[in-house]
Amino acid sequence: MEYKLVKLDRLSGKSASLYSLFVQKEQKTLFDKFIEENKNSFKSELKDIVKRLNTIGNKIGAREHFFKQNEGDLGDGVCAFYDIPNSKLRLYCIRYGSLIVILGNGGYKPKNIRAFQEDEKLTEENFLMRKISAIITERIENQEIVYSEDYMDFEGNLEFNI
Amino acid sequence: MSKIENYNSSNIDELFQEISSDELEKTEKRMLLAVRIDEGIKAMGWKKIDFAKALNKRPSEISKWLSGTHNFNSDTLFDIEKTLGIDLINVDTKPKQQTSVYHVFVSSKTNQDKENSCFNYIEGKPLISYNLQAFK
Repeated sequence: MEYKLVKLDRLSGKSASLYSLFVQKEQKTLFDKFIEENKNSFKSELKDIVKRLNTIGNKIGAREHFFKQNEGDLGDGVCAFYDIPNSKLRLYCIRYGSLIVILGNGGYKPKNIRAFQEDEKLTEENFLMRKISAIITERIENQEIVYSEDYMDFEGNLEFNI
Repeated sequence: MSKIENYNSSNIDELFQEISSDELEKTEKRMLLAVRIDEGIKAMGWKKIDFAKALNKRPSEISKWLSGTHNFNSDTLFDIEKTLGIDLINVDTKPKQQTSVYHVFVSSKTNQDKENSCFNYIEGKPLISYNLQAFK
């Protein structure tokens, strides 16, 4: 599957850049899919997520305490955006400091499971983010991807084939 | 080097159409509160676990406080203020002192008698008085 990193115009601002992965075959981003898959059952949770992401992009930045850490491999930046109390809508992200966040997909984490690995959909989305993170890390190391001068953006080889 | 492409999502736009400016403001304030608390913890040289111990709470509860999603009650905010030595709620009951500024314009000297003068006489001798117009 081919993906391309894109910047979400509506959510990005002076405090942080919010990205997602554009799925070439489906002509939409992973975050679009997250919204479409959950808007019938979890509309208010989605609105809350979007409000908070908007605040992150435009006012406050992607501070660490807004994300549930260690959702991926050690040090890979894969995390989950905190859901509102009593909601189990899980959105997987990759956080690069407080300036860049890549929003993935996720889903509903049922209350009867303790870890995402018990749910096929969540496992799939989580592992996709781990793969993306690993590729980006490798490309940063060999300078195929670099930070922009203000560190607000990535530049370089932003397409992925997974 | 290729630059990142901007992407406009109609899904995100549709959600924003259902969000009022008041809701956005409320969310922002809630998150700013979390930021204040996080910075207060760091200013104490503490980690979350130290703060949790100081308040006799579980670390997971502190994580929820800092998530930007928590709806605090006032008692909890007072406890946090006291523990961290920061202000989160301003409940100063003293009315603000109002200062009025007057611009005094002196127009001319007058020779007013004692009754009309706004100035006192000293030892029976009139002071020079002036017409005063005061503009706020």
